[in-house]
Amino acid sequence: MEPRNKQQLLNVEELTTGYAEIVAFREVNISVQHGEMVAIIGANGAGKTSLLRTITGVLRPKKGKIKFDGREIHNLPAYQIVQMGISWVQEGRAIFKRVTIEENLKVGAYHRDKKGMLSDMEITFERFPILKNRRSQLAGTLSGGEQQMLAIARALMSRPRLILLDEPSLGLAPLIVQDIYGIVSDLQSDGITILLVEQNASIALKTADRAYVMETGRIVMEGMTRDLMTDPRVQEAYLGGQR
Amino acid sequence: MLGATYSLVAIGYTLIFGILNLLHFGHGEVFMIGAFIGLQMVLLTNCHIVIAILGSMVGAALLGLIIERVSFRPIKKEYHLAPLISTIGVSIILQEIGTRIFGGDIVGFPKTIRLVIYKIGPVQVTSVHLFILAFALMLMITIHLFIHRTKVGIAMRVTAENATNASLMGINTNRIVSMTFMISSALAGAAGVLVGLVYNAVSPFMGTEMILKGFTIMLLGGLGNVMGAMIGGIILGLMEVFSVAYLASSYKDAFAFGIMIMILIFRPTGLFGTRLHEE
Repeated sequence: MEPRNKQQLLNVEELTTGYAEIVAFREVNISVQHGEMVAIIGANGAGKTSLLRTITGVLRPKKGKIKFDGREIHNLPAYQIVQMGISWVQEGRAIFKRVTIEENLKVGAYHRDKKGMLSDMEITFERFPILKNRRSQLAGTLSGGEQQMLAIARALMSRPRLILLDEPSLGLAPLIVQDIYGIVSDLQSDGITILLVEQNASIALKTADRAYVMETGRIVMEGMTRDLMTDPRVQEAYLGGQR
Repeated sequence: MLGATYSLVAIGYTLIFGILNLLHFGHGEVFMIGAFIGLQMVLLTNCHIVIAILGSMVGAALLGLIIERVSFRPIKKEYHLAPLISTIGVSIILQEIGTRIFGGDIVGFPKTIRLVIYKIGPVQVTSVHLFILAFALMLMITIHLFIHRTKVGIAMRVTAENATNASLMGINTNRIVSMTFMISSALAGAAGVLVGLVYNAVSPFMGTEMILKGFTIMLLGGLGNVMGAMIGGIILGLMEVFSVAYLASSYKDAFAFGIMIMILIFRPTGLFGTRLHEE
């Protein structure tokens, strides 16, 4: 165990969370190593988003531990967890629609100094030219794909070490999904560790290095994505009809 | 002129409502305590009125902080009525404290500004009115710039839009809520002194009427809309003046609240309203 732990950035141990009496997921173990892209696939309601809510400090776990870079974080408030370097790109984008695009990016870099924020803003605008042209417009005026880009760009503004991507393909046209996943692969090349949550198992397994399969609040399978892709159970339950 | 002071109170409401989705009934009493702090400073130290206003803003801000810590933060937000009732409690407590310390009588402001009457065409304006207008406008411009240009201002706006998401940006939303209370209360404190100057009357019950006017203005301008609150206050002030001029001064308040009912019927989003719940 010990030597493996050294490279691990995120460690979720025997984690159980619920809302009041209802258990969202039970005894989940997940680890993500530095520089790795790990996917969690599973149907709607399997507990994937609840898991992300717990990692980011929005939900409190009932049992178990979450360690980030060796430090226990499951009792910290959400804003401190962000400051430690975990950034969550939420499902449905969750950008601030009533403030401008530029202000969304500024908020993303909230805990950083102004100089770093401004230089990163330039880098962001180079990467996403659409955002630059419309920087002073309200973010609510962007299209779905553009909002997803803004959400990712905003997450990057906090200089995260770990990015949690929640259903980045949801509700987007196939071509735009490809664009978004192109960006996601670039992020990994830049050295950012990624935990990806997707219902779209096919694209997630193609992009990530390793994956967990989640069903009704439990992790039922895990492995390298190339092995999972050829696993008959995964093929039948998650890749069926997509061939 | 008076409208500008209404705007100050309404901005405070609007900020608190925008961020907490809550009507803060104690806000009128913060306004009243602010007026008394200013009055006492002038009476006891004979200081300049600007110093008294600044002092009252500091005092009111501290009061706002205490109100937030004692009667908001510990209360469970799941029960929507609980924080509301709690603010009504705050309102009653502050009013009784005010009555006990300062007595129930109406007290006048000593002369602090030399009274000069200017005539612009048919309109008469006094130096007191001009001072009040200038000071209120200055505060409004400051608060507008603060909300739109500073980092904390942006944090306040995104917290108002979605507090959970704001905390996921690394914003300590509890701190933003405290600051909102302090800023709102400081504005109310300043408005208290300014209104005390206009009417030359300060009493422990002056907040009750003000709070209702604040609601009216907030509705007029659109819930959670700071700019709307600024303009709404001035509109209400003007309407009152005209109703005094053309109807009778005793109908002034009936007029104001008549407007509130009309807005609720015909334009529930307010004059400058945006829909609050977009999802």
